[in-house]
Amino acid sequence: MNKKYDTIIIGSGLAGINAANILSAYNLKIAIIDENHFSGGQYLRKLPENFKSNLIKYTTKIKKEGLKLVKKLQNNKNINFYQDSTVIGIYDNNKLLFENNGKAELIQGETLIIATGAREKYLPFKGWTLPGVISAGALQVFLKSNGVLPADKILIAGTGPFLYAVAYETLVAGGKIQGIFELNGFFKQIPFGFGLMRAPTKIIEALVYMEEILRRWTKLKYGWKIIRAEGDGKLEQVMLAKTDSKGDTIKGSEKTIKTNLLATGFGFIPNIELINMINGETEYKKELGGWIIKVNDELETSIEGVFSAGETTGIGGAEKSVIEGMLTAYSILKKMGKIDSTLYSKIVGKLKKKRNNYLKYAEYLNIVYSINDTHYKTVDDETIICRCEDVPLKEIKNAYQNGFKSLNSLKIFTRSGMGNCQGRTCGPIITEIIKSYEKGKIPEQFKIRKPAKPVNISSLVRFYEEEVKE
Amino acid sequence: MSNGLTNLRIKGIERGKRVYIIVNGKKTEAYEGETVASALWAAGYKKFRTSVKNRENRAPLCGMGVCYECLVTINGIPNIRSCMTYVNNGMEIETDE
Repeated sequence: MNKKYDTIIIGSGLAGINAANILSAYNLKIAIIDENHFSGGQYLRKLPENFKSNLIKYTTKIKKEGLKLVKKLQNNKNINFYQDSTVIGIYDNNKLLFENNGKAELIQGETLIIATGAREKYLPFKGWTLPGVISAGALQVFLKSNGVLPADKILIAGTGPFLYAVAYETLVAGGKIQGIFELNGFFKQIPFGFGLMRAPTKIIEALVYMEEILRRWTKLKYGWKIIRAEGDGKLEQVMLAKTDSKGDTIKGSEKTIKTNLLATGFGFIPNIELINMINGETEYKKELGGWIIKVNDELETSIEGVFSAGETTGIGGAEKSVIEGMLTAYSILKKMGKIDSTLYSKIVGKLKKKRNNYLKYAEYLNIVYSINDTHYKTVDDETIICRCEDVPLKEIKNAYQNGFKSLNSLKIFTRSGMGNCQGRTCGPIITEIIKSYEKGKIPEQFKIRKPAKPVNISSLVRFYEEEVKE
Repeated sequence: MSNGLTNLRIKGIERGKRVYIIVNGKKTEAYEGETVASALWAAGYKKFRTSVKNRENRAPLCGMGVCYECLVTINGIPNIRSCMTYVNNGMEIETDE
């Protein structure tokens, strides 16, 4: 039998748990699905319960509150946590099929919140498939969730404030940083200061990170890009070069650094596959991080009863996710007639104001630390774009020049996006590359089909045998 | 398989219970709470899988279950994301040779 809930929340990050907190207080029955073993999403990552560390001296207020909330919700009888659960598909806009511990399960919800967060954005370069080239997020996972320093010396490159957070964590863990190479020029970043003024707590955070980075005399370079990574079966060295204001490489400025580990961070992109699967509307907004889920002021998507909160509606950080999680909860309460309209207007008015503020912050973040089209236009032809199927740029370019202009047609012709990650890594890269060829015109996205992620066939068989067959 | 460090596990962190995983037939130290990806990396493994066409070495990229670069065989089941799976005593892991 399908279990029935008032609301199914996909993703137990800050948006998801804050929505659950409010909805459960009004006695709604909630299911939270998360692929991870832990609740709290990427932002609340921490060492396993059975680990002890006194290395971490600084934790943001929002993280402390988030961790407290996770603990509180775990004992809430109105909430059912489905951890280690990977979504397979959404059916009839209200049923969710997912895989947990070798078996598929189906649950039903009156309303749905898509709070699937974001993933890493990439600017590919020759050799980025070598072991030892990892994302900045992966470096953080090694450090924060596993207590592992993945190499004695680490090179950090890319763009955006996340690089400093990861650098700080590396240094605190006793790691050595060979340099932080920011793609965007130093002066280009000054406007971000105006963005920070909209998020004052982030100023303190930035100061804590910079103090540690500067105190260790970490090399900081601005306006540098990765040209290529080299090594025999694993990373051995990285070539970087200075760029001019347009993003073109300055000849003669190349520099080679020997390293076993390069962590690259180019910002984040929303995980919007599930809304695409059910044909909900999305929109491309550069200032919010690319393709986002289109929502109205109440955070309802184009599909009635399906809401979205957090990074999926625009890359804006932890505070925005908390506020949006709360906002979706109130929208659902209103829809279900569970909240007094005066109280609703009073609370929601305040939340919307806060949300608008963080949307402004998000715009500064995404514009200041954006990647100039020139960088995508000048990716080397031999660079692997689709890592799952080993498709180099030259094959994609060739297909594109022969009239395959959408991601789907390129997929059929070149196999890019046909592998295990289902285009999650290469899709956004191909989008940006085509955009750079087409002077800003955005190509059509991949069509998303079930399963949302690869699923073991035995999980479906067990589901069929136990739940459907009778 | 040297990383230039004898132990990549961060000093000053008290870890969970020590367990042994079997990697390509070799008894390997790990700690409860660690992901398979971290335990393999800490043990010096830099090749998790071989890419399908070019037969290149691949290892974790995203660390959070998105990229599928860290796939290994665990207890006989192939294509498991090592970054999303936690170690336990006696777990048998095979990387691509």
